[in-house]
Amino acid sequence: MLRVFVANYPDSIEFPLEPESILLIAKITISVETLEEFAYEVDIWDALVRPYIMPQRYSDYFSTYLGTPCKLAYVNLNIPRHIQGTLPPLSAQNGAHPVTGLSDGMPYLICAEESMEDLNSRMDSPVSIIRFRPNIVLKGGKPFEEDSWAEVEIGSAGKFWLLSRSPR
Amino acid sequence: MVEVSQIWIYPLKSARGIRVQSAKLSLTGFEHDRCVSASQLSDVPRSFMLIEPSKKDPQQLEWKPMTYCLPYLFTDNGVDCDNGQRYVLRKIRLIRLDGTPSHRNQGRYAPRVCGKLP
Repeated sequence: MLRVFVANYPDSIEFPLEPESILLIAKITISVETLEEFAYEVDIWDALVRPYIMPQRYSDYFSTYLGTPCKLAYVNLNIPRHIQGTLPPLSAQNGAHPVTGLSDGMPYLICAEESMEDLNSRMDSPVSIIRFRPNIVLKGGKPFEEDSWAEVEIGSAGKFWLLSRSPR
Repeated sequence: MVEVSQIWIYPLKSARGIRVQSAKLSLTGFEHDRCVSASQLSDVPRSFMLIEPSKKDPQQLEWKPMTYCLPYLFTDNGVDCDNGQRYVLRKIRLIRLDGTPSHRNQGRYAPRVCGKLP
C-alpha cells in the first residue's frame, strides 16, 4: 500500500501497489480490466506507453492539492526497457541484454557524499544530494573519485557496473 | 573506507523518495523503486505515475508539483521508512577505470577494468 501526502495538507490518499490488489480501506476492488486506458501514448524516455487511468477520485486528490490538472496513471510496460549506450562486458551479461524499469535510464543511480560536499562548497545555496535522486549514496571516498570507477561490489549485494554518468 | 550511507527508493515516479534501511535488489532496480515489486527476468516494469492530461502532448507531470508529493510505503512488514540509523555495508571493492573518463559521448564511457584498488 502506498500512501501519498501533498506537502502542507493533512489529507492523504492511499492506493495499492498493484491495481489487482483489494483496497481494504475503500472496500472496493480495482483491477486492470476495469481501468480506463488513456487515450494517448505517453513518452517515458523514448518508450511510448499507453497507461491506465486510475479511478477519478485519485486524480481529483492530486489535481486539487497540487493545483494543476493531472491523472494518476498505472503504467505497465509489456517488455522491460533495454539499457542504452555502454553495456557491461558480455561475460557479465548472462546472455541477456541489461534492462531497467521505469527509472529514467539505469536501474541504479549511485552518488557520493564527498562529491556533493565539494560541489556545495562552491555553491551560494547548498543543495541536498537528494536533488540528484540517488538510490545508493556512498561515503568515505575522495570527491569525484567515483568518476574513475568501473565497477563497485557492495557487500553481499553484488557487483554494480558503472556504465554512465548521470546527466543530472 | 567507502561505505553505503543512504539507500533511497522512489515508489511514485517523480515524487519525493523514501529513505530505507535496506532494499531488495533486482535487475531493474530496487523493489518499489518506480516499480511495484522486485522484478524477475520475466517480469515487466510497472509503476504508478502522474500525467498531465494535455491532448497535444501528454507527458509526465512536471517536476515542480511532484516535489510536494510525499509517499509513504506500507508493506507486510509494517511502515518502511528511515529510522535515522546509518546503513553500513562493508567490504566495498572498487575497480578503477583505465584512463580518463570523458564527459563527451553523451556522458557515457566504456568501462575498462585494469585492476583492483588496494
